[in-house]
Amino acid sequence: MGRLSPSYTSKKTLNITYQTPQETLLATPETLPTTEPATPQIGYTVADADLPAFNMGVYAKNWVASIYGGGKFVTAGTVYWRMKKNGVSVANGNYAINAAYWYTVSAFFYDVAVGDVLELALWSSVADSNWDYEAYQIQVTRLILMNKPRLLAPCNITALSAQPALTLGTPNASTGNLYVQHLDLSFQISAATNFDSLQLKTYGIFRIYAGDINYSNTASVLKSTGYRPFYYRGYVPTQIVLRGLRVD
Amino acid sequence: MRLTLDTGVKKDLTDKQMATLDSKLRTRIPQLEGWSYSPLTGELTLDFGEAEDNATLAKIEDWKAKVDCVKKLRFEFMEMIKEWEG
Repeated sequence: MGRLSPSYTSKKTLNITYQTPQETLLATPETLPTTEPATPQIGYTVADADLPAFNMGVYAKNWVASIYGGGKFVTAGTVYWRMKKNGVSVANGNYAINAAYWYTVSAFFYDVAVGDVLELALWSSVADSNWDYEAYQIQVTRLILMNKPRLLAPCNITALSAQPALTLGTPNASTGNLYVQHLDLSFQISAATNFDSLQLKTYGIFRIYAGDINYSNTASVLKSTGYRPFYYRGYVPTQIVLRGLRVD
Repeated sequence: MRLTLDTGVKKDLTDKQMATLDSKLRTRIPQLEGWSYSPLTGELTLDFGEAEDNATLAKIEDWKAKVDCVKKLRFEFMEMIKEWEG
């Protein structure tokens, strides 16, 4: 006679700790070139120590790197940017900046790994613009907690945090909601939420806004008369209480 | 407000080609604040900043009706996302 597998796992609490973002505010702003620089001004190599930490093992996940670059335009012009991953162009673009405005480029690299070299190059249509700010943080998205069972009942996201929380300069953020997966429906949250979740093979139990739902392997620019960095970010889960239900 | 078009062309752009594309885009679309292009996916995203006037929305619907070469459109406003498959 075979032995029955238990229908439920024990109740588990997953804690996710995000690393403090790496930030630099230059004491003296550097002038932006008017053609693309051969070496991007901003670059980070993904290290183990940069990754969010988990208090228990998880089955699968994707890492998203957020890189920010900012500065100021004296006269009106256009800021150009290019994202590179391991030396290969991922995306490029530009944004019109008013005279005497600050700008911040928010660049999101989807699906990075330890050892990847991530770079952000900035240049300008005018000769008197500059850059003086950079930041970097890794977040997790498309988390699949267990291989089997796949139905999580409950799957309570008991704590969220808006990440990254940048502190240097005069920061202000546009914060997107977390997109969570309830059975076959997706909905947005910005506060603790109890729900049952079917871990989808593609999306897992949640997707972050900045770098997955939106701005996946691309960048977007915000400008302001008073804020730098003025940046995109999203709510991310910091604690999930769950119990797995065997459905196979 | 952002509008993403799948151009079907996956080619990297030099800084000079970016400047040329920028000039052409801004001549034809004066409301444009910025744009981005991915050589990995061929997607061109037009960024209209905080613009939310009905005239621009109507123009987007007009472009959607007229542009045959675009395979996919994705429209984002605040956190609302709408996609069309061509």
